[in-house]
Amino acid sequence: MRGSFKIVRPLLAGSLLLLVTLPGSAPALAAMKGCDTGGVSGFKVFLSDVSVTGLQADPGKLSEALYFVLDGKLQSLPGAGPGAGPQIIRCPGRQPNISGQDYTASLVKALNTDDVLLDLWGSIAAREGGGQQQEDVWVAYYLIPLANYDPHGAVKPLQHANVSNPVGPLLDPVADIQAMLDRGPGFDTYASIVLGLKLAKNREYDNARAALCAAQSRLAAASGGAATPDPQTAALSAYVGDKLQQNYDAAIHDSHYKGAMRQLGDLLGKPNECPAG
Amino acid sequence: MSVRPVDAVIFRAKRWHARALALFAVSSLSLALASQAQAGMITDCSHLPDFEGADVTTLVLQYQYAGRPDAPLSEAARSLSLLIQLDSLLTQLKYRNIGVAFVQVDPYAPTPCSPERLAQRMREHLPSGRGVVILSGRLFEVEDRLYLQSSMLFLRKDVPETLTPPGNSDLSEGARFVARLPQTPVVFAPRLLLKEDLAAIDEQFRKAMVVRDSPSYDASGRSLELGGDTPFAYTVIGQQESWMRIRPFQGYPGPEGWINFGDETVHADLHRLLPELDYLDATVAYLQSRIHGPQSEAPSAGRLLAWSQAKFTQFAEITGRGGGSNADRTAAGIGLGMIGILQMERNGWAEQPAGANPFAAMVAAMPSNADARNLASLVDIYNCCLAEAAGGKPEAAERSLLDALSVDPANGAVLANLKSFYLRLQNRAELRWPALSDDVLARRLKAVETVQQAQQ
Repeated sequence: MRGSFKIVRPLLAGSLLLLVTLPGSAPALAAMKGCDTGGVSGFKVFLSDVSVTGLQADPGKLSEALYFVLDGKLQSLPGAGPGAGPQIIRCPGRQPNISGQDYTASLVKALNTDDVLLDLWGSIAAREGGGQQQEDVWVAYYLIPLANYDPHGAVKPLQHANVSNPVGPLLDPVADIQAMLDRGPGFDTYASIVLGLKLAKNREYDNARAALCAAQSRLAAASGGAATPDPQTAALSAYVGDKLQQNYDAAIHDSHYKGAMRQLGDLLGKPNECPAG
Repeated sequence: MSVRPVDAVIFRAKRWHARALALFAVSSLSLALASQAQAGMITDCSHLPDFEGADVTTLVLQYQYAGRPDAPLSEAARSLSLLIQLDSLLTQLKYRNIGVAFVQVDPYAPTPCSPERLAQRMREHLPSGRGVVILSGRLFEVEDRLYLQSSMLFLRKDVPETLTPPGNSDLSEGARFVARLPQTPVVFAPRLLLKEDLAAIDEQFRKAMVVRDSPSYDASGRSLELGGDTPFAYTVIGQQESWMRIRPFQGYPGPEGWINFGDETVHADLHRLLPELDYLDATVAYLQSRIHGPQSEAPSAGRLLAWSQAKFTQFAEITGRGGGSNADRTAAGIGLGMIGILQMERNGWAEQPAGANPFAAMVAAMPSNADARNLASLVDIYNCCLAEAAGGKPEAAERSLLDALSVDPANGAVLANLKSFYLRLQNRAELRWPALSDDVLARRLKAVETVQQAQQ
């Protein structure tokens, strides 16, 4: 049974303890304004604030909608294992730049060490369009393990999507956010991939394969069985295949691993593929 | 068209009965029929219901705002929780032996009331073999919109949700076959409810909750007061088709008369907006059927299977429109697994049409789930290697087990079945295919045992 996700409100004492005991991560945490893991162990997802530019809007409601959608998606994230689901950590006051320029190599490394899977945030900005003022709503997330292990790979660690609405009251923020996060291969797929990457690096090879297989089956569903999926899905499928193969290779070269991939080998099928439905 | 006289003894909540009734902050409905317990009540996380005689108890845990569990609920949010409880009660009355309670949450309690904590406490309370379903959820509200995301957890005390083929107990320990449903909780996709829709549904329920002088909508009647501070409790003293005759319980206020619990139109709008209520209904039917087995008579196993199938199908149809979400697809997959299990139990393993696998659709819905594949493997294993008139191919059974292991190499249930499968082939040489020599089989068996040992 997967554990529930909580908002973490760290105590000051906990923060100080972390800085003392984990010197390697101290610079990163200092740079991550408002984000404090407070000594929370396990996988984490940062939820940064929503920025508002050029219009009167309540970013708080969009933040709450982001939390609602993100929490729900993480609850149904497969492969994390019982009680091992990521916890959401809110980062009040933090608003990463949409370009991803905030994520320096040292910050990414420190966040990855701290088991942060991704950082998610939003923005609302005014724009003139078709003679009337529009608001562009953006949701972006940065995939920390992917940036750490494959900074120059075919899959970009920064993923974002937007919708445009006429300026006015929020019409359907949850549906907008859901639609943005589900666009293309989708947030669920990327979340399974970064979970798989972390588990593989933690030498939890079996769980890593389960997470990557979940990603692969979602990619297959996203392509709808098309013989030639769209370029983004195709690139991501190839990436997941590579990671499955690397996970398999690492497992069988690890003398401590006695699991099914070593003992049953080829009987399980191709290392870089998971059985289809 | 007979009215069945019924004992007035009902709702046998034991030691905490008086306390729970005293806790009623809002209305509560408790109903019972003969020796069967059917009750609806409101309690809190510390004083759980003990519906003696209920096969399945449904607990509706108060929905809370996501990330703000201590925030006071709006009127719409409170109304929604009450509607879900009432709907659950009315839709489940057809199952007879049920209990329904609404569990309030104290946001300032030192230990938060979580579904997992409720499940643990019910494991301690329930008689062995009885079931519980816990529905909970998170809310988000903006202007005239209420969003909610539900999750559901279900279990039977001391009985895992597993399937075993016939003749399994004749096999030696360590060589048996068993597959389980994927582990709950089932998490559904977020839903949107407009507050005006919610108010209209609330009004529909209030109109339906009318106690009439005779079992007819033409008869005059008086409304049951829902909400407010007046507690109420009722006994069922008769039934005529979908009408039940109810009487206030032991001095509680309220009218006596007939109420219709079978009017689907009352539930239709709420279920269209919250298809997880169909899912809940189907799960209660599944649990009832598993508790009583294929010989269940009231209701019959056939009816329970039909109800369960119809409601799971309805859920899949509503949530599948427009492509659906990953969460609902997974939920639908688990529902297909429950239908498959009931079909195997009801129709018999030997009677399955050749080549048909009731779990194939489940695997298609959730291909990366090893437990789903393990259930499908069980049918293949039975067909090739356990049935008297075995007709399936053992190679295909091995392939489906290995595929299950491929998507989750550490799955202990799959490993155990793979070991049992190889042991079966060792003892029954005629089942082996040409490439599977003694040496090859011995190596594969040894490999599985090594993996199992490494896991210990």
